[in-house]
Amino acid sequence: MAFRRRPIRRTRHGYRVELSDDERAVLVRMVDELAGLLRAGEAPQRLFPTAYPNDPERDEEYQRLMRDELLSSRLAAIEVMHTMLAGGDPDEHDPGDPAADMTFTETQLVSFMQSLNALRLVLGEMLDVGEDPDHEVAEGLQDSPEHHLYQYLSWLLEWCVRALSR
Amino acid sequence: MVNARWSASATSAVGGLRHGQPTATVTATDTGTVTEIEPDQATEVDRPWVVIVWNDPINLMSYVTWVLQKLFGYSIEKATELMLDVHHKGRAAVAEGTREQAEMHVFRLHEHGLWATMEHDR
Repeated sequence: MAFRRRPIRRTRHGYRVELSDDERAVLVRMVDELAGLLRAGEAPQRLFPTAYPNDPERDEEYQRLMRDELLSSRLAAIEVMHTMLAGGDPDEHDPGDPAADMTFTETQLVSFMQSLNALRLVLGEMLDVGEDPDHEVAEGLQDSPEHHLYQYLSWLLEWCVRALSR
Repeated sequence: MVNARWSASATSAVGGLRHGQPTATVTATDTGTVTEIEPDQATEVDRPWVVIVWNDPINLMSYVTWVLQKLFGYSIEKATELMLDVHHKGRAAVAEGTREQAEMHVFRLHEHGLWATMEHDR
């Protein structure tokens, strides 16, 4: 089996993202679901943390003014990620080539990364991820699809950070 | 860019919030209006707000380090030191400033998915 390529790397022309059609399809589906949750007001509280944990009055004021701004920011980043992943025409890719490659700006990649991390936060909460790296999730959830997805997102996020770190 | 877009629109919102809060107590009497200065007002205004990042088991250490570098312009060494404080001590003070500045920092940290809060410096 061939050694896995680097999925994201910096080039002279920008940031090159190489993901298979299957990977892109899964990511698009996940961010679209997250956008749906956000628009319906059903996203986990972890995506809208408190600013003043010891001052409910000030926090209410902060949330009243800033929550919509944070929601808009998250939806805008998701839109960028969706466009990056769904923008290419699948017919243009060689079926024998496992990677569809695309090159993006740093701004686009940062939005991609923010959305990727938002997905991890949602999945991580669902899985009740803990601190112990050897027992990240409860025994019964270790082989769950959600945990595999979570690990995949972590792997991809790590490559984003490497690419963006100078 | 997400952060630039926010700084243009949200700073005014936060500034408006602040302008809406009187910092002195004003009371009307039979002889006219008397302005009473809160005893701790000067201290309250002068004390900086501190932005705290809390440990959580989901955010990657490398990601937290990168966010601290990007948002605050810290060197890799400084950002790593703060990230390790978060990881080992449970929290780290990553910035301080006026209430408006602290709220802006908290917002940007939330945008990046970090668990951030703010409190008055003790």
